[in-house]
Amino acid sequence: MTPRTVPAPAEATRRRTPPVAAGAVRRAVPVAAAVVLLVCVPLGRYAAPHPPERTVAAPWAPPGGEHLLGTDALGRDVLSRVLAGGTHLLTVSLLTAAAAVVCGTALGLTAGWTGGRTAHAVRALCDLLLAVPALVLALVLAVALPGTTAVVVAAVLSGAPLTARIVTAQCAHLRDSGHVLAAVERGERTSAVLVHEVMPALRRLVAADAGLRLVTALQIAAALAVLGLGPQPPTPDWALMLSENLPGAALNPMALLAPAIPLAGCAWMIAAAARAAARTPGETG
Amino acid sequence: MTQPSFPHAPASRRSVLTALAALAVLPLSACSSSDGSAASAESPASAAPADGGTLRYAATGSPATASDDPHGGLGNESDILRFALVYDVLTLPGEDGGTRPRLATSWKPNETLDRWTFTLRKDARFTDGTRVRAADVLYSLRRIADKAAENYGRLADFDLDRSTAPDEHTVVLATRTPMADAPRALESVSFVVPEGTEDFSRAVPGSGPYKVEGTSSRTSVLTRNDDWWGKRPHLDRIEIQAVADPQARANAVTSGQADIAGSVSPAAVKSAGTSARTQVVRREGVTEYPFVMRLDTEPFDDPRVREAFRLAADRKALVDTVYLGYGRIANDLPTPYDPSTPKDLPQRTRDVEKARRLLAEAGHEDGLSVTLHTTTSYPGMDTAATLYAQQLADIGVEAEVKVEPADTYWTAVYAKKAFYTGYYGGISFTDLTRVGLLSDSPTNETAWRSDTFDDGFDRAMATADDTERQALLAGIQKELWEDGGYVVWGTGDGLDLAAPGVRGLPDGPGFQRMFIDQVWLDR
Repeated sequence: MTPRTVPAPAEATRRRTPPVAAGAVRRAVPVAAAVVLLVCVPLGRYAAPHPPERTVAAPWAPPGGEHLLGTDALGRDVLSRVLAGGTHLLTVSLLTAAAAVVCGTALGLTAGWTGGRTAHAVRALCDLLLAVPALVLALVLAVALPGTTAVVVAAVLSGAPLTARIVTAQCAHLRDSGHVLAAVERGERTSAVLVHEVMPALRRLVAADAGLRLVTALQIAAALAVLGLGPQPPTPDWALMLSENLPGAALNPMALLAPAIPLAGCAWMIAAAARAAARTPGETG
Repeated sequence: MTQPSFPHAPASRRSVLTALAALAVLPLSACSSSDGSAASAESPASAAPADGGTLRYAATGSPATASDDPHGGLGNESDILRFALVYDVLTLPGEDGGTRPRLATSWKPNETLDRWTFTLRKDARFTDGTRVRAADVLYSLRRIADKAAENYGRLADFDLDRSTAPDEHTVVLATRTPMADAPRALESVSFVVPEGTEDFSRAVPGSGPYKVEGTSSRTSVLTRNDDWWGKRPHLDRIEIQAVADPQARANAVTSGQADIAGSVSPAAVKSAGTSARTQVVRREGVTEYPFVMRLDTEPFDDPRVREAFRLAADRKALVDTVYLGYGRIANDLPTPYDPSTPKDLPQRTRDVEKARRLLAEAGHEDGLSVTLHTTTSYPGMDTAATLYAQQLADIGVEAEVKVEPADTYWTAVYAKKAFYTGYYGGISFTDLTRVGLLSDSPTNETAWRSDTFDDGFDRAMATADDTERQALLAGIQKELWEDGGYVVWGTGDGLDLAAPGVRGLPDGPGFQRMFIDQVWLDR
C-alpha cells in the first residue's frame, strides 16, 4: 500500500458518500420488501372479505360485484382464498431454505477448512445428491412420507449440496488469506477462527444463496401442491388453487390467474432480494 | 363390472402437467364463446339423413393403455367405440330401458330362468366372407368369461361350460342361478369374433357396420362395411382419436379439429357449449359420486349416524356445484335411473335439526370427526367431497377431506375405507347388487349384509314376469333407502360436445352411446 492510494479522510467522505448511500438503499429496498411480504402473507387471511373455506355464491362466477375476483369451483370467493392462501407455501419454503442453508454451510465449512479426504468425500456426496432432480426426489419420497415432509426433505437434500459447494470453495480460499492466517498464528481455536474470521466474510454469499434456496423450495412446494401432495381441500393454497380451478379456466380465468400472480411474485421478489443482498457495498447495478 | 361400467382412466400426475401446459391457451377460448343457444342433438334440422362424409370422434382414451382385445378390460372409450363399430354384439340397450336385438334376433328362457335360448340372425358375415355361426358366439363369450380377471367378471353369472350351440344359429346359455335379466347382461359388450381368434395384434375380421382401414395408438380409421346385414350406415368413414384430457377433447370440437368430443366436463360444456358452433348431447344419469359408508365400521355401524349423514346433504347445492346443474338430485338409491327404482319413496331432503338430534341420540352430541376420502379420477369427485364436508359441518360433524392419488384410489381406498367418495357410471341395479350388495358379493363396499335383501333378490331373479320382477326389486331397494350405506345425492349427465351438423347421435344409457352407426352429417 502506497500512500498515494489512500485518500485523505475528508476527501474520501466527500467523494464516496453519495454512491454508498444510493447503493445501500438499492440493496435495502428489495430486502425490506421481501421481508414485509413474508410478514404480510400470513396476515392476509384476516383481510379476507369472505370466509375462504365456505361456499358463498354459484361456482365459477366471473369477477365483479360482491366478488371482486369471482368465485371458484365450489363457489368460494377467489379474492379471500388468494389472501389466505400463501401461508403454508411460504412457511414450508422458509423452513426448508433455512435448513438447507444451515446444513450446506456446515458441510461447506468442514470440507473447505479441513480439505483433503474430507473435502473429497463431501464433494462426492454433493455430486451424488445433485444428480437426482429435486422434483423426482420429492415425488418418490411422497410415496412414503406425508406431502409436506417430502417437500422439506427433498428441497433440503437438493439445496444443501449447492450451498455446500460454494461455501467449500470460498472457505478453502479464505483459509489462506492474511487475516485468517494471522488468527491461526495467534493460536485461536478453529471454531473461533471459523466464527469470527471466516463466517463474516461469507455473510453476503450465504445470504444470496439463502434467497435462491428459498425460491427453489417455493417451486418444489408449489409443484407438489399442484399434484395434490400438499395442503388438502378446503385449505386455501395458491398452488392447490391452480389445479382446483383449472377446469373452469374459461368460465372464470381470474380463479386461475389470481393465485398464479402472487406465487410468481413471491419467487421474483425473493430472488431480487437475494441478488441485492449479494452486492458488496459500493458496487452498483 | 365393479366400480364403473368401464374402469376409470386415471387422471395421472402427468395429465395434470399436460393440463397445466395447456393453461396458456385456455383464456383464449373464453373469449370465443358467444351466447347463442345450443342446438339439441335430436333437433330435426332436415328430415332425410344424408349419406357420405367422414366423422371425426375425439374419445376418452390414452394411447398408453390402448387395447385391440374386445374381450379384455375395455379401459379406453376410444377402443370400445372401435369395437362397437367393427364387431357385432348379441343385444343392445333400448331407449326405454329394455333390451334390443342385434346379432341375436330373439331369446327365450326355460321355466326356471337358468337356461336361455338365443336365436341368431342368419345373414351376418365376417369381413373375410365366412358366416357368423353359433360356435363363433359361444367361443367369444367363453373368451370373455376366461378373461374375468381383466374385465371384472363381466359374464361371471353365466355357466359357459354348460352352454351349448345346438345348431348354426342357436346358442343355449346356462346361468349359475336363475337370471331373469340375462339378455340385459349381454348388452353392448358381447363382441363376437371368429372362433379360434387369439391374436388381436393383427386385423381380426368382424361382422359389424364398419371395418378397420388403419390404426395407430392415437387414431383409428374405419370405413363402411357395405356387406353388413343391418341398415346401411350413412357415413363413409369414421376417424377415432384417443384423447386423454377432457378439456383437450372439448377444444378439438370448438376449434374444428373433431366433430364429436365424448365425455367432457360440465365446465367445458358451460364454456364451449353455449357457442352457436357446438351442440350438447346430454345423457341422463350417467355419472354418480355417492358417499359410501361402511356398516361394519364405527361410527357408521349406527343407523342413526347414517340417517344423519343423509339428512345433512344439500342435494341441489351439490348438483349445481359439482355438475354445474347438468344433472338431477337423487334419493340415496344407488341406481335411480334403473327401471326397478321404487316410485313411491319420499324424496329425502336436508334437515339439519333432525340430523343433529339423531347424532346426539347416537352419543355424538359433542361432535364427531371423520375422514372423507376422495380423488380426482373423474371431474368433480374432489369438489363433491369438499362441499359435502361443508354441509356436514352444519350438523356438527368435522369431516376432513383427503384427496388420494387417482392411480391408487381404486385399489387402496375403494371398498376398503370406511367413508369415501365412490363412482358409478350407469350400472344397472341387478349388476350393482351382484357385485356389491349381496352378503357374498366380491366388493361389498358398504358391508351391506341383509338376509331379507338377499332372499328378495333371488326371488326377483327367478321371476319371469317383467313387471312383477321390477316390483320385487323395487321392494328390496326400500330397505336400502332406509338403512343402507349410501348417500346418493345426485346423478350427473353424460355430456358430449358435437359440431352443429352432426345428427342422430345416440343419447341412451350405458354403452349405447358407442353404437354410432346411424349418425349422419348435415352439411
